[in-house]
Amino acid sequence: MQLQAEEYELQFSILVKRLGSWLSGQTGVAKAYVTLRDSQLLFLVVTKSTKYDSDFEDALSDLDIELANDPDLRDITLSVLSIPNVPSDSLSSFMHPTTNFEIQRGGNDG
Amino acid sequence: MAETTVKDRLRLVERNHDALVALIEDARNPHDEWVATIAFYKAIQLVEALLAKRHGSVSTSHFRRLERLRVHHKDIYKQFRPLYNASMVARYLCLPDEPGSTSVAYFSSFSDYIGDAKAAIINGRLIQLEALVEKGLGEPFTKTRV
Repeated sequence: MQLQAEEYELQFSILVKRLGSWLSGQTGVAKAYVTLRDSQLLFLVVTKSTKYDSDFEDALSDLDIELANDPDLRDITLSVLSIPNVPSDSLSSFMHPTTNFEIQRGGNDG
Repeated sequence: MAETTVKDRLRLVERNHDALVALIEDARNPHDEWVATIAFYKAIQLVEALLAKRHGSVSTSHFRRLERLRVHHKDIYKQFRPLYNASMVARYLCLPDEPGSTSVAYFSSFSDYIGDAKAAIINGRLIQLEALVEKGLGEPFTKTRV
């Protein structure tokens, strides 16, 4: 059965809300984006710290698993990636040049 | 076919293991970027051997591999994803030529980011992943030791 555009839009808006909600609980995140990489959706998280944080990687993996197994997001394929704090110029290796937007804490409403 | 694929993957596991050991034992240079990358590649071959054994097929893409692990092998995925993440930072993250003066502390090098690579990558993730894969695979392979 062909996926309808309205259904995908609904799932995508649920995804954005979920990501915003998750960010609200994360004090170590400087910026977070949804973008495209290798033609796939990517949740790119830039941490405030410049150091590897094993606990944060576990939290990100938990989010990834939760989203991948959520029936409300059954047609969404998303990967997650964290990078340490870098200037915005350094994000080009990971971000699509035009298809990207920042996720706000609490969601992107308004 | 699955049995042949498992054996092929385990051969690649051993080759990656040999390269990883050579890098770790080189006292002249830390080679942190390559430790992270080869550790990740060893993990790829291990999980693909497991997927072939348990599900009868290997992954057709990187994304398909992640999808399969996220759904069917969550405990393994929790060790695999940080290895993937570290290898991405090691391979692709770089600073602009002139980052400019700033009061913000930015990433300077992978070695500075990862700290003790053996602790973070090998002990922290790869060894855990190997133990989990070994339980499901039931085939011998050389474990990483540091």
